[in-house]
Amino acid sequence: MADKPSDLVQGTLDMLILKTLALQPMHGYGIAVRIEQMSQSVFRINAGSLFVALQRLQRAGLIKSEWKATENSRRAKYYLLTEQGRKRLNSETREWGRQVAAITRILEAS
Amino acid sequence: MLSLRNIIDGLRSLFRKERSEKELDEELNGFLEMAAEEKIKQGMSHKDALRAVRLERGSLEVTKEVVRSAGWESFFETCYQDVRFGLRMLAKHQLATLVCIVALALGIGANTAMFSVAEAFLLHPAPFENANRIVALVDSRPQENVDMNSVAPATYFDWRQEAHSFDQFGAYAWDEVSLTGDGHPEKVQAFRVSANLFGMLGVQPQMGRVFAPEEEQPGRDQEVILGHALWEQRYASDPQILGKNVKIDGKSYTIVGVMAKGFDFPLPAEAWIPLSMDIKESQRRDNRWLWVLGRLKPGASFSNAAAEMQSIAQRQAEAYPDTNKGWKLRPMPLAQFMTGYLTRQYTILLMAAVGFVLLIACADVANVQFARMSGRSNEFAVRTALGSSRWRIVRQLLTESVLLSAAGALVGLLIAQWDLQMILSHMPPDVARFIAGWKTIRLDSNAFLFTLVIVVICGILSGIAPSLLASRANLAESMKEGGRGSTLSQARGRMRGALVVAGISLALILLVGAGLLVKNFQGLLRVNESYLPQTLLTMNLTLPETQYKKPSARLAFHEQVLQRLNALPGVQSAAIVTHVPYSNGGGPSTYTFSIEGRPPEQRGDFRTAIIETVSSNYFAMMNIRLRQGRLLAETDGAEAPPVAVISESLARRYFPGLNPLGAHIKVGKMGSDRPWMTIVGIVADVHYSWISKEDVPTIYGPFRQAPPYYTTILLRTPSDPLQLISPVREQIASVDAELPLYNIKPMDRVITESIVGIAYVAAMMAVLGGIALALASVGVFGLMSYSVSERAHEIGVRMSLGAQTKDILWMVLRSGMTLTAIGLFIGLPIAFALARALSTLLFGVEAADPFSFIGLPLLLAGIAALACYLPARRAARLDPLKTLRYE
Repeated sequence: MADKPSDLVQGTLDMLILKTLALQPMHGYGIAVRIEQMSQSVFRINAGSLFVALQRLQRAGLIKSEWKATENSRRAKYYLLTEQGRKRLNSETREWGRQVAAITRILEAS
Repeated sequence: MLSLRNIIDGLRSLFRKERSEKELDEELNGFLEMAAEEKIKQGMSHKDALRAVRLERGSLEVTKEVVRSAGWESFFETCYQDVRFGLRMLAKHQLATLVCIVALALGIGANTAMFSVAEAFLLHPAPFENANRIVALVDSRPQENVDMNSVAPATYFDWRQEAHSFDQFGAYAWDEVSLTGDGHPEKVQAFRVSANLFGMLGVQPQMGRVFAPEEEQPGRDQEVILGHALWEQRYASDPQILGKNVKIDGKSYTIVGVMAKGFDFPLPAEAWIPLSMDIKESQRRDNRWLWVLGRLKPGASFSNAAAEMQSIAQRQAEAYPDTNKGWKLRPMPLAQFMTGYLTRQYTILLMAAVGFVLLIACADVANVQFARMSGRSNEFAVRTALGSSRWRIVRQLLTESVLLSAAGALVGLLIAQWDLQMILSHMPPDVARFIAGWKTIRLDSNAFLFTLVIVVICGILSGIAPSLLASRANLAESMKEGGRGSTLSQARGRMRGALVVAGISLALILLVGAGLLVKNFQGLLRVNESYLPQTLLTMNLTLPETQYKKPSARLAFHEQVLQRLNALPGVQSAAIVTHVPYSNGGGPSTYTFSIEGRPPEQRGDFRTAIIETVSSNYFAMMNIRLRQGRLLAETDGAEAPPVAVISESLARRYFPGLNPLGAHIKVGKMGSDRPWMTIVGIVADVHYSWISKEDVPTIYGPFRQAPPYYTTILLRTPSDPLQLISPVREQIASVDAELPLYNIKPMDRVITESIVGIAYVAAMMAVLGGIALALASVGVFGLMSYSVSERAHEIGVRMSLGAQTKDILWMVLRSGMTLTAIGLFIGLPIAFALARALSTLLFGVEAADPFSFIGLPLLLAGIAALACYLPARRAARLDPLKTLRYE
C-alpha cells in the first residue's frame, strides 16, 4: 500500500505546483517529475489534473507562461511564478502548516 | 472566480480556437515525449515507452478533453454543440416538431399579447413622471356598494391644511361643456382642475402655460387649455392659437395653453379650465363633487400616508356626523384608481386563462418529448458509457426543448402582434378613450423580455421531466431491446398519463369559464331585446344655463323639439328621457329622494334612486310594462299636480308590504325645495348596466313638471335609424342653431359599447377555450398513437390469440377514455368553484349552468374519444404477422 503512488489530498496540487515553480521556472513535465521526486515517489501526477491545474493557476494570475527551448533543445512551455503567486504560496503554506499541526494533534490525542 | 484575466483567456481560446488547440497539442506532446525519453534511457523501446507513459499518466486524448472542458468557455462550446445536435434531432422528427412549435406558438403568442394588455392596464395606465407618487383619495359607502365617490370641497381644503404625508393636493371635476362661437357647436369633455394639478403630475403643456393659482378665484377663471386632439381637429393645429378667445357654455374664455399629444388625464379630457369656487361652495360638506389626488412627499410611503388620511377622516366623521356618517375614505394608488376594479379582475382572469393554455401546450410538448426520448434510449446509454455525466444529458435534452420553445416564441410573437391588432381595432373609439392605458398597448421591450422569460420557463417545464427520466436510463436495461416493460417505461407511462390528465382538466376549466362568460354575454344582449334597440336612435343635448334659465324656456324648447320630431317622416315616435339604460359609461347615477311622513331613521341613512325625467310615451317606446296604477300621461302638465311613477324594485325596497300608490315622494332631502310628487303607478324594472346584478330603484317624473337641462332624445324608426341623423339635426337646429347634438347612435350600439369589455373577455375566453380543447385532444391523440406503436407487439400477440378487431378497438379506447374521465373528474370541481367566483362578479352568470357543466364536458369527452378512436382504429388494423416479425 505504501509503495503504490497515492492520489493527492484534494486541493493540494495547486500549492505543490506553486512551490515547485518558486524554485525555478519549469515546464509541465518538469513540474510533475519534480513533485514526484520531492515526495520520494509518494505522489504520482496525472497529466489531466496537472494541465487543468496549470490552466486554472494561470487564469487566476498566479503563474504565467512562455515558450522556451529546453536543455535538450526542444520547445516547451515554461511556467513561472508571478508576485501574486508568491504571496499566495506563502499564505497557503502557513495555512497548511496550521491545519497539519491541528490534525496531528487530534490524531495523537489519546 | 471569474477575474478579468480569466475572462480574457477564455475569450481568447473561444475565438482563437485553432491556435490555442495547437498550443495545447504541442505542450502535451512535449510532455509525452519527455516522459518517454526518460523510459527510453532506462532501456525501453520508443513504442513501449509511449505506452508505459500513457498507462502511468493517462491518455493524451482524455487529458486534452479534460483540460478543454475545465475552462468556463467550454460551456458555450458544448452549448453550441448541444444546439447543433438538438436542431438535427428536431429536424429528424418533423411532424412532432411542427406540432410542438404550433402548440407553443399558440400558448406563447396568447401570453405575450395578454402581457402587453395587462402591462398597459395594471402597470402604467397613467404615463406621467410622478405617477408613482400620486395617491387618489376617494370616498366610499360600503353599505350601498358605492366603492368610489368624489369628496366634498370642505374635506379637500381640510386635507390641504392638515395632512403631512403629502406635499401637494390637487382636485378636479368633470364638466362637459359646449364649445360655440367658431364653427359648428361641439360638446367637449372638459375638466375643471386645480391650478397645481399639471405641475403635481409632472406634465407640461406643449405650448403656452398651465393655470396660475390666482385663476382659481371666481371671475378670473376664464382661461382654457386645449387638448392636443381638439387643437388639431377643431383648430387645424393653429400655431397662433394662444391668446385667442373661444365661447364655452356661452361665456368667453382665453386659450392659454395646448397640452402634448396623448395627454388626456383625467380620462377622457379634451380641454381643461380652472377649478374655481366661491367661499360658500368651498365650505360645503354635503355635496361631494371633487376628485382629489395627493402627491406623496419624497420618501413617504403609501401605507403611512393612507393611515394618516384615515385618522383625519375619522376626526372629520366625528366632527361632522350629519354629512360624513356611513362614508369611508379609500386612499388608493393612481394606477389602481384609473384601472377600475372589474378591468383589473378581468385582466387577471385572462392572464390566468392564457397561463392555462401555455401549461396545456407545455404538457403536450412534454408528451412528445417523452415519446421521442424513448426512441433514443440507446443514444443515451451509449453516451453514458462514453463518460457523459447525467447533467450533460439533461442539458442536451433541455437545450432541445428550449430550442422548441424559442421556435414557438418566434411564431408566437407574430401571433401576439396579430392578436393585439385584433384587440385594438375592434374597440369602438368612444369606449377606448375612457380606458386608462389603452393607447399604450403594444409589443414593447418589456413584452419581448417577458417572452424571453417564457421561452426559458416553457423549455424547462416541458423538458425537465422527460430529460430527468431519460438520463436515469440504466445501461443494462436500455440495452435490452426497447426497454419494454421495464420500471423506467412504466414510470414514463404514468408520467405521460398524468400530463394528459392535467391537460384535460385545465382545458375543462377554461372551457367552462368560457362557456359561462359567453352565455352571460348572450344573456345581456337578450335582456334588452324586448324594446328592439336596433331601431331606436339616441342622442344627447344640454341646454346652456345662460339662455334657458327659466323652466318655461326649457319646457318650450322640449315641446317644440318633440312636436317637430314626431312630425318628421320616418319617425314613428320621439320621446325624451334623462339617461337611457347602458349609457353613462356603465353605472347609472343615483340621487337621494325622500318619502313624505317617513324621515330617515338614522342620520346618514339615504334613500337613493335613478331619477328619469321622461315624456309620457317613453314607457311604450321601451316596452316597460305597467304593474299597478297608471302611466304618466300628456295631461301631467306644468300646472297639474306633480306625479311620479316608480319601478317595482323601488316599491319592493322602500314600501315593503305597503301600497305605494298615493304616497308622496320628492327628489332630494326632506327639506329640499323640490315639490312632493304623488306616486300614481308602478312599472316593471329596466336593466341598466351589466355590472349591477340587482335592479336599481327608479323614479320617473313627467318632463313638463321639471323641464331638464340635460336630456336624451329617443326616436323609434321603422328601419335603419342612422338615415335620420341629418334631418333630425336640421329640425333641432331650427329650434336652436347653437345647440350641439352629441352621442348620436342607435340604441343597440349604446348597449354593445357598454358591454364591449365583457364581450372582449367572453370572446377571448372562447378562443382560449377552443385552443385549450384542441391542444388537450392533441395530447390525447399523441399519447394514444404512441402507445399503440409501443404496444404493437402485444397487440399482435393478442390478435393471434384470437382477439377481435372490436376488442382491440375497445382496449385502446378504454385506456384513453380512462385518462379523459380522470381529467374531467379533477377539472369539474375546480371549474365549479371558478363559476361560483364568477357568478358573484357578474350579472347573469349561473353557477349551475347546465350547458357549461354538462354540455362542455361532454363535448370535451367526445373530442377526446375521437382523438382516441383514430389510433385505436390503426391498432385494430395492425397485421399480427408483421408486428410479430418485427420482433
